[in-house]
Amino acid sequence: MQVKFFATYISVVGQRVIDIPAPSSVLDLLTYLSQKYPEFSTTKKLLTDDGLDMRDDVICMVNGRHIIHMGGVNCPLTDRDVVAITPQMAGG
Amino acid sequence: MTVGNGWTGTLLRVNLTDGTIIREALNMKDANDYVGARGLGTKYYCNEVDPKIDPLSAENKLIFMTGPCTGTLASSAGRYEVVSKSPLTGAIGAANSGGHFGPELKYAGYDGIIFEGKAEKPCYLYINDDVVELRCAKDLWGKNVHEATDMLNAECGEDFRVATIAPSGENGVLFAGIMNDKNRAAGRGGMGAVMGSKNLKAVVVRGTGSVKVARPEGFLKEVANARKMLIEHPVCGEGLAAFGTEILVNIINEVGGLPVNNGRDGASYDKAYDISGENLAEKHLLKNQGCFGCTIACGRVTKVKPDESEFYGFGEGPEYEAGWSFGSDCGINDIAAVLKANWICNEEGMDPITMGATIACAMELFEMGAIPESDIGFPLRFGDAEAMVKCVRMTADAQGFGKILGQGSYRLADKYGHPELSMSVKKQEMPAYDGRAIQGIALEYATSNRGGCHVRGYMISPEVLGLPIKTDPLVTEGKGALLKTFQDLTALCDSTGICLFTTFALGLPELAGQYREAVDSDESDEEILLKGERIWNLEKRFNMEAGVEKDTLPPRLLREELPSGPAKGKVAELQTMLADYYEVRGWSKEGEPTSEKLKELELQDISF
Ligand code: SF4
Repeated sequence: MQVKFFATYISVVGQRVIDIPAPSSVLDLLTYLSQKYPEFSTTKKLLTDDGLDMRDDVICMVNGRHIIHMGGVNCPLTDRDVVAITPQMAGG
Repeated sequence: MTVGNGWTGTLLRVNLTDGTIIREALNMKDANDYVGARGLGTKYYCNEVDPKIDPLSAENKLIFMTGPCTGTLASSAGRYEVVSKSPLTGAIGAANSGGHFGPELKYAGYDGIIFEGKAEKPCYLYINDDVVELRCAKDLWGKNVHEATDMLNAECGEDFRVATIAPSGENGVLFAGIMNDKNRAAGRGGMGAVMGSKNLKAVVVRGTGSVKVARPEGFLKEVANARKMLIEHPVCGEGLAAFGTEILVNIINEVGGLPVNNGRDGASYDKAYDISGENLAEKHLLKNQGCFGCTIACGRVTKVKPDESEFYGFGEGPEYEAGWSFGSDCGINDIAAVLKANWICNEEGMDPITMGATIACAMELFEMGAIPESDIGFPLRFGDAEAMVKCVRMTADAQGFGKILGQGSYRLADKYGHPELSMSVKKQEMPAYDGRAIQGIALEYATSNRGGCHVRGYMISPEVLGLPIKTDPLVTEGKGALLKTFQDLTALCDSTGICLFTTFALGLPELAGQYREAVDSDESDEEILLKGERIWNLEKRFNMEAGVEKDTLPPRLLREELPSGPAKGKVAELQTMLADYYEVRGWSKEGEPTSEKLKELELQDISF
């Protein structure tokens, strides 16, 4: 499964894209990332303090759809999915 | 409301035909009812100008107007508005700009300037506190924005703020803007062409006064709260400063909403990263830059070295919109070429959205054989960065095919028999979001009072970015009501003199709170928001009287299904959303404000 990172998350991971075997859900993916990359559990947290949900200032999309429209962090993942994770952003 | 409450209380009325300059009292009732800047400028304009006027005639007027918060300590409050009828669209044109010009005008003692008539010879307006005079601009005519600004600063003094046009405005490029502080633009709708048609090259201003607010203690409390919210917000406190608006490229592409090749080839671009804010920050960003009193500082100072690209140079920008218009919309992933095209637009005072989208339209027409190569002088295919930059230069210089490009995509496509290939609404080009993938922005484009535009009700915030709530971009339900709120709030924000970008972090309570304390108002948040709705309806009434076409979209968005991406198979479901929107607005099924609505907004007595 491909996971893309945008904005300040690129420097956290050190790469724009990583390939990993798909965890079973978005929550598992975010938990994995929080453990593997320390900043994701300190200064740039992905998960809420109880570890059960994604923070409001994080955007996560599966195949271009925000997870909010796909069952939230329980959204299941497969190896064919492309996930994009980015801090809250805006422009115009 | 009285003078001193955010206002200087004085307007300049400059008749360019006979050279008279009159100081007149600001109409405080209108200032109260229409807030300032965009709203108040439009009210003055509607009071004084026939909607059927030829925008480039001497009878047209051009209004510079600040808001009651402009030049105060309010958050990011350096904005002013230029209002006139747009020569590009024939609709009301209102273009908002930041930098330092607006505050300086107020410090000189003026809330706004109304230009009338046409000067016999090129001139500029010199304002140094009480000294206001028209001066000869013979030597400035023909100079670009940066040259003219440097010359005016050398002549008048380094501490003068300059708003000027380039030869594009002098030559009637229909999307020529007015540039202040060199790189800040009242960019869209051709306000620079109106200025040029009056033989008015520039306005220079120096002010040593100040702006007083009504309730300083309450005001400072509101400002402190707003600034804290801005600084702590992930977008306004960190994201925009680090990456600028170009940060949007990747995420908009991810939702399948970044138009490619004039929208012909859908809205998923496989080379999006190359033109993204991340790539820009890594390779070409020197520093970020802010307008007057802004904690966000979203501006980019950028550079390409001679050993990096043939498109080397130095300047400001691009914004996300230009990153798209010169990038994926032209099939170009060479960021140096995008930067170059954008710098030329800044120096030559042209709207990069319309410029890039017009070139993209020409590329499609060329590829399908509708424009012969002999008309252009060279092949103009998608992906050809050199040809794209050449087109921008030719437009700025009014050379050959550049003269046709300077009329915008609608007139170009119409001339070559395919008006349907202009990606415009009311003859102004839509910006960088595909309305098939993001339904609410399609509705926003169709109903925008100044033609295709994203900053009349930025639906990308709720539909993609989750600000302040997340809605589904593929769904049409509820978009009418949401858009109405965004449009009214935007009209209010633009009219206060505060930057729209603050609304990523701030809501109506913070905006209304700063406004209330500045002007000494006891109105509720809802009553203040109603002023935004009044402004929106006034603009709409002007457009109806001007004979502007009905709300619709290019056939491509209505009929051609997106070929790929998360929104594959989608078209813009406009009719469903329009019916909903008109109902929420309290308008007729035909999309016209009803007499009850006009009465509710106290607009029933407005006559044109
Ligand atoms: S947010 Fe950007 S555009 Fe707005 S005032 Fe600040 S620097 Fe200027």
